[in-house]
Amino acid sequence: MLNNSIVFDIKDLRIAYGLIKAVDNLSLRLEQGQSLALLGLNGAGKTSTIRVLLGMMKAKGGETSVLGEPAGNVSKFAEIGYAPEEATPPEFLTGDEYLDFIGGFKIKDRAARKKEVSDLLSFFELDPHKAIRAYSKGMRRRVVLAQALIGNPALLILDEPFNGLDPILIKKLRERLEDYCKKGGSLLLSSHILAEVEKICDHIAVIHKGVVKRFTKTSELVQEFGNVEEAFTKLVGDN
Amino acid sequence: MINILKQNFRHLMRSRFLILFYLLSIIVQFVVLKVVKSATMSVNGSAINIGISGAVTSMLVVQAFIGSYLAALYGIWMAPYIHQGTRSQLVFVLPVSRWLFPIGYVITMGVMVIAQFAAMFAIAGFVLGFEVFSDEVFPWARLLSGLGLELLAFETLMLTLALFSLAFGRIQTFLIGMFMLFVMQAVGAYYRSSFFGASEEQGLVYQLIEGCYYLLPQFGEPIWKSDLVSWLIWLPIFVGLFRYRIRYPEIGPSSE
Repeated sequence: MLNNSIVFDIKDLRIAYGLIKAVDNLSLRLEQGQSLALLGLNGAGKTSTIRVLLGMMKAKGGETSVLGEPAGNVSKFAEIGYAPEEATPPEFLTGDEYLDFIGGFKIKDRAARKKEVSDLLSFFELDPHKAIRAYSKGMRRRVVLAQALIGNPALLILDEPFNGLDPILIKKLRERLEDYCKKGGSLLLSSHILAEVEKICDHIAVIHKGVVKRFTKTSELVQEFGNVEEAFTKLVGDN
Repeated sequence: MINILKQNFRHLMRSRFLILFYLLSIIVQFVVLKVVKSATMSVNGSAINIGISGAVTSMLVVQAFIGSYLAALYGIWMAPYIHQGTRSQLVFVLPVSRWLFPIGYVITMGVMVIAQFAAMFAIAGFVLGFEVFSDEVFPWARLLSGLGLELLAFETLMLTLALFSLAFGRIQTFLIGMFMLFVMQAVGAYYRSSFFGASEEQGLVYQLIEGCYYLLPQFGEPIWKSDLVSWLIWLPIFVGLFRYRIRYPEIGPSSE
């Protein structure tokens, strides 16, 4: 487990695509066991923030540290689970082989890895022996989510995790994420499904046009506006 | 590294195109050696067999072609696969040094080429007789130095094409590759014909062609010393360039 309780710290982050500002002076912090939701309209800068946090792109300014190291440190990826918004795993592998491949980098004990892969395949109702190329769009989404959960990471970053999932699986995933946070895991989640966000996350950051409009506890937001949907509409909708 | 190699070989085993290519290459090698074995040439009016030396030369030339196509197939389509498109994000967050990816592709390509060489020796033994390998006149040094040089060349060619495939796309790389091959063949043919005195010109065009001809080492020719050094320089350069290219994943605009 972490010696320092701060999982990631973003200070005055600035991201630009050419001359267009995507994120401006954004500051966020997540501590161990906390769950933070990034909320915002399309193009608000949520995914860009996540990408900088993972070292996938360079920021124009600011400081970003993850698990005590600068963003993008390869050694820290063993403790991070990431499910991008859109990604297709290698199609020539079966679901079982792909999860075993990812697990191979995170769980050294073969028996433990096999068990975890088997549990995840069962949880996400995936056929282990079917090639990923034969999976439906929803099944591919589930494989991507499953690979993020392998190895019980200290930090889980999920970009639009509920897209393409059926209501039963959304409920199952929500319960699993709640359990993950209760056991000390830290969660960063970006989603448009505000009802789920309200149930899972204890902190919320509302981003609008690259600027943090509000970064607070979910309970405080609910107390002030009644629910997260109302808060989001009030904070973003009128601008 | 073992995990990466395991995945690379799974990719190879599941590529029907590659398996088909291997089968075809075995047939080509068999046919060429059969033809060489039965071929005769006329020297001072008397017919003589081409012999072991000719067979070895033909083996090297056939390997040069087969290896080049193998390098193109693996370099353009297979090696860059996991680094292309949205799946590159999933590879990017693996807790492993990114140097291991190009090194893994070099090892995988090396195993494929060595398997081709092994098939070549088996076919040569089958066609010419296995006793030919223990013959005193069998040019082991020339053959092995030629194969070693070809191995280095195929590795470099594969990484070059993989890099182009990542930068410009697969189809574009295939078309550029075909065009470059055509230009190099045309330049080579022209230069060679000039070299033997067919059309000796020392103008600017000739100098340009000569420059192109010597731009890269000619991997079809087993010239050990000079070309070995140049390929040994090119290979690590392309390993480094590939590593540099995957420093960030390919990420398109988000629909967030």
